[in-house]
Amino acid sequence: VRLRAAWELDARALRTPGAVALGAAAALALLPGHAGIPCPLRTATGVPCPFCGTTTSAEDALRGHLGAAAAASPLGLLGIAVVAALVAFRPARVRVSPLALAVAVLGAWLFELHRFSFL
Amino acid sequence: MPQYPQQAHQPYPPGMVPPGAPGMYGKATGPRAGFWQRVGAAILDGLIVGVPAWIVTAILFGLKIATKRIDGTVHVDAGKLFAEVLIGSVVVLLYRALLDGGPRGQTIGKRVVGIRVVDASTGTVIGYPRGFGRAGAKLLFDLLMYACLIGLLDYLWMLWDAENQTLHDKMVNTYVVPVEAYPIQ
Repeated sequence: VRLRAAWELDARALRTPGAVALGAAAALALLPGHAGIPCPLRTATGVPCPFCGTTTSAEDALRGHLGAAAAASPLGLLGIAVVAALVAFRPARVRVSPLALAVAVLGAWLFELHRFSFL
Repeated sequence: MPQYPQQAHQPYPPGMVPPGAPGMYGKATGPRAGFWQRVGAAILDGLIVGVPAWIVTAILFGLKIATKRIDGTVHVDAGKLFAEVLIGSVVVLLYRALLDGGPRGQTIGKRVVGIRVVDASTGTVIGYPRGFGRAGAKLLFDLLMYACLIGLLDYLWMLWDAENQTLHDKMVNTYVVPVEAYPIQ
C-alpha cells in the first residue's frame, strides 16, 4: 500500500452529484426542526467523531449563517464551499493531497473534542 | 558502446521482470487499482448515494431514528431503522449494479479516481447481470460489517491478495483496474 503525494481527480463526474447534494442540503435547511444522523461513536461513548456537527454546519451555511456553521464544524463549512466551487467553477481535474486531507480530519476531530469539552 | 552485445537480447536476468511487462505490479498479472484509490472511490460513492438517500428517507419517515430520553437512555425506533436500511440497501444495490455493470464499468466515485471494474478473464465490461451479482455480494458484506466487523475482511482482502481482489471481486471474477491501462471502449 503506497500513498501518493497528490491524488489527481476527475472532477467532471462530481458536478451533478454536487448539485444534487447542495439541493438536498438546502431542502434540509428549509425543513422545520433539526435533522442529524446520530453519530454512532458519540451515541455509544459520548466522545464526538471528526465528522460530528457537519449536518448542522451544512444547514447553517445554506441558511447564510456562516459564523454558526464554522462554530459547529469547520469541516462542514469547508465541504459546502468545496462542493459549491466544483459546481460553480466546473474544474475538469482537481489535485488533492492525502496529507492535507488527513490533517483536516485530525484538526476537525480536535475541534469537536474541544467543542464537547474533552480538550 | 555496449561492452556486452549478447545482453541486448536478454537485458534482464531470468526472474527479473522488465518495466512495463505484466508482473511489475507486485504479484499481479497486470495493473490493478490501489487500496487508497478504492477507499477514496468508496467514500465518494457513500457520500453521493448516502447523503441524498438519507435526506429522502428522513423526509419520508421523520428526522430522528434515535431519541435521547430525559433519563439519559437512548431509544431507537426499530421500524424506522429497518425501513431506512432497506431503502438505503436497494438504492445502493441499484447504483452499483447499473454503473459497475454498465458500459463504463465504473461508479461516479471510481470515475473520479480513475478506476473501473473489468472481467478478470477478458479485461472488458462485466455486464448488468454480473453487476447485480457483484453489488449483491458487496451489499451482503456491508450489512455483515454493520453487524460485526468481520465484514471488513471483504475490503481488506485486497491488501494481501496477489491481484488486489476483494472478496466480492473473487465471487464474480472481476478485477478493479486503472482506466489508463484498461480504456473504456
